[in-house]
Amino acid sequence: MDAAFRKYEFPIAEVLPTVDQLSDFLHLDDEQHPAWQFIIDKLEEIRGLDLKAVGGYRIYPVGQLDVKAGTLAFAEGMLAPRPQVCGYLRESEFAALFLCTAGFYFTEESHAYNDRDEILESYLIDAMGSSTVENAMNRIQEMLSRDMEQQGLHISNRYSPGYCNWPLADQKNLFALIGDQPTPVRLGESCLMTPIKSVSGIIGIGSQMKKREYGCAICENKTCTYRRILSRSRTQAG
Amino acid sequence: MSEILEKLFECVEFGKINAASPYPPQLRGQDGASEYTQKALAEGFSPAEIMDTALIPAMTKVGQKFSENKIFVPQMLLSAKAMNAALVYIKPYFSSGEIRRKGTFIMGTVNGDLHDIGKNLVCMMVEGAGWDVIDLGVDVGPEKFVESVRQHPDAYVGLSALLTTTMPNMKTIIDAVRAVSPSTRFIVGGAPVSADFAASIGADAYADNPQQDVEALDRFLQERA
Repeated sequence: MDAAFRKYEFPIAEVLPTVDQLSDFLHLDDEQHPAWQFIIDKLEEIRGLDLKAVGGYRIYPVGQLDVKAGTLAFAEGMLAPRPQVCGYLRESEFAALFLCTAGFYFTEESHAYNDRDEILESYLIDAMGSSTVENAMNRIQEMLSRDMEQQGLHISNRYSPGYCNWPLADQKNLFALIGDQPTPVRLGESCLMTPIKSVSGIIGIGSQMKKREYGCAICENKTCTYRRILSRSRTQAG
Repeated sequence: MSEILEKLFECVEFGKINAASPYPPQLRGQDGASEYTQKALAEGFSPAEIMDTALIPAMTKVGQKFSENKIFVPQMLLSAKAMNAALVYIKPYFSSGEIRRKGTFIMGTVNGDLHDIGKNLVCMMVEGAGWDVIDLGVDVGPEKFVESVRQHPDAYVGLSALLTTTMPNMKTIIDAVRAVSPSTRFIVGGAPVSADFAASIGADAYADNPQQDVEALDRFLQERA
């Protein structure tokens, strides 16, 4: 397995959220709400910009995976995602350490609107950035899956520091393992990535790997806003 | 409540900014928060009465609906826009002293952290609840909070953090401010923050949504009285 960083670039128009995707994310179910038309117009505007989402991964063989200790050892270093994530990665023979960014545009544009007291628009653009980077990472994950399937391997879902009890501080070890890479994503002292609209994490790879639940379904953060939205959706659905 | 203030309340609650705003559909073609505020002033309602009877209660209701997941951020922000449209005509009375604000709230995202959406929502709701808000921005260290508290010794302070790695900076800030102003009271919030963590660092309240900030501030005010 090649350990070189595999880079992907997507024209922003290919990974922008759809209006439906964004309205679901925002729980915006009223098409007459002014946010709806703003989203349509702004997405159209952004589609015309020369922007790219950039990301990729580096694949390493997994040395030792200790679920109980919550650690994952590689020849080049170690991660400590804690037992929950290590459990999901149990069948990993390799791991793809990834990062991806939607770039600086969304945060800068959001701030520009906020500075003009256009707080709703500022929030909507921030949400567009969040959805864009997730869409871009979905694409990378799909391509990784396709590549691995050709070799008889399967991939796990993706997991990130800060979620599922994986300490955010371990992001420093993750970035150390990824090493030099050609994207603009950098890690600050507080483990905050810049550009802010960036994601990083791990995807397990193995011949027996199974995809398990992902995101809110397995996260135990009781105070997360998204959990509150999910609870409401379930209540409404029920 | 008079009809005009009831209308103003409704405009803020549902985000009807002005007569030209097509939203919400049930108020289409009618005046909005901007026009009703001007009319209320013209008809002799005092700015304080407009604030206390219509604007603040409307934003309180919006905050409650948000905390109960009956509305979400876009709806809340549209209400804030309507509130701001009304405040254009009310704010001049803040500086003249004709409207007494409840107090001052200093707010910032702690050092090392650049997230501002949650902080902005809190600032907006607290201002809508009748407080002067000083927004120190993001990546704010202890020195800036200390300086702001020195300038506003009666202020309450809100701290926001979105990262587990920056949460500890809340304690550093609280300790630094209390070193010069022992009675300053703090509200903390942000995705990774919990009530237990808030208590462990000596914060006076934990808020998991903007309405809880407003409620904590009102509680502080009652306790001070």
